[in-house]
Amino acid sequence: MGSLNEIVSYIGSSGINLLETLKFIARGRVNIENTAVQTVKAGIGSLFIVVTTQSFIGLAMSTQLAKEFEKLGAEAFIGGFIGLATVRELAPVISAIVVAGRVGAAISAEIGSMKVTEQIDALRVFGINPLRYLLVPRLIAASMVNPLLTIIAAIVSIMAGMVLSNASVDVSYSAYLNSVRQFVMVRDVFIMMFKAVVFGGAIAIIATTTGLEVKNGAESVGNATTKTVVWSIMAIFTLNYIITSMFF
Amino acid sequence: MPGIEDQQTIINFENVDLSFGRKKVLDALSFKIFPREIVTIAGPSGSGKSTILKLISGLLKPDSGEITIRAGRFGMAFQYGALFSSLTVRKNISLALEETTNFSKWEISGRVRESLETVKLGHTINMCPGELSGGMQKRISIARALALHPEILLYDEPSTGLDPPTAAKLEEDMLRFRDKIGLTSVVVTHDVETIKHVSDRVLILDKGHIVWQGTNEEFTNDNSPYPASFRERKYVEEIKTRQRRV
Repeated sequence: MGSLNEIVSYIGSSGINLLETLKFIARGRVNIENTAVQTVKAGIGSLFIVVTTQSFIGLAMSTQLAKEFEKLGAEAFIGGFIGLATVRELAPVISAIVVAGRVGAAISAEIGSMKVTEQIDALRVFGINPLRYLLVPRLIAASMVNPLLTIIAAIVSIMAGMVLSNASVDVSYSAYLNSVRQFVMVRDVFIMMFKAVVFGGAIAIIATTTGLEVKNGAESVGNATTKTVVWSIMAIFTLNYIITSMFF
Repeated sequence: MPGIEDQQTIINFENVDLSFGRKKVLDALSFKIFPREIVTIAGPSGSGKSTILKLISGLLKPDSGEITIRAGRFGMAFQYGALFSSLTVRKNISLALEETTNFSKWEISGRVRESLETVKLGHTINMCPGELSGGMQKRISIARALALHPEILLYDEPSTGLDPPTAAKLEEDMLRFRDKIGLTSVVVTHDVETIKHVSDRVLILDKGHIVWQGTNEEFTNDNSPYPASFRERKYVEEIKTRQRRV
């Protein structure tokens, strides 16, 4: 993980990059074409993994809970329980972890390779700020794509739980969905979306900062990719706790 | 070039120092480059040649000393092209114009075609860097720099990795840019053939400072250790030892 100095310096660089990027966005200096490309790339690349992981999480949760709730005669509450756990914690956190592994690692490797092959120097020589050209579109893309993926993840997970609850303990679809509606408030969905935006942004900042710090050679690019995933996961869990304690 | 000292410099290094950590890379480096010159900076690997290009282009700042550049725009042809691998040749060349100027699409498209024609690679406009040979990538890198209509063009090891005919073609381009558009060029290389073919003046760098400088003719005829070591592909110490014996 590196020394305390390294960690503090890394958090400092990420913070500076975030501020610089927000300044560009506030001034409207956004490359729309590049942002659209990054959004499609991030969304399509992650969709299948998010849907797969979340459907299995929904199935696993339902397998665990159905029998226990049946013993208590509380089958009618399975939907609400799965819905709350999914919307409040599992969908935003698991989707963000998938995005960190799929999108964050790819961003870091791409920017790291650009650094090694002097493409970042070329941008600077031609007067193009690398943060504006590389980070702004990726920050916007990740902050837009992650909430969309998270909504899809939540729906898939809840639906998977519904199918399995019906098959294993005969909870009807309407009873399951009524329970979801009863327990999951609109506020919960908004907080989930807020978390997803923050996590997506954090992943883009971490991946770009790490990519730009690559010094030389393929090994350094590999290390940056690993570092991006590790730091992103740590950031996701830390931010998740902070946001949760702010709202609940 | 007679009377060159009377002209105003376009690049002036005055006592420039630069260290990376404890390693001193440039040590009180001073030199002048004049408009429309092709100046070659030669020297052994690790002598600080490429660092000079990074200082001229603003990628690095000196620890002390003064660097004066009297040019509005400059371009750089990187050692391995440094083309943006995910973009087509057209986009590689137009990117800087789109991002840093208010030119219309029509003007940018004209500049792209003009610069590609200058390096005689117009047919590559819709190709990606991965589809081009090393030599073509270097020439596209030059086209990308030329599209900005620079007053100074910096070349980092232009002939490295190229076969002799391709290197010769590239060197002909460099001479043509000087003669036709009055471009000032700074060329970092350790290739003797490139030095002899393109240079108006040669600066030899060792251990962070200039150890020899002169015209192309002086470089070719001077038997002092530094130019001789380059021409004969021997270490300076070998030349010095041989000359002491004689």
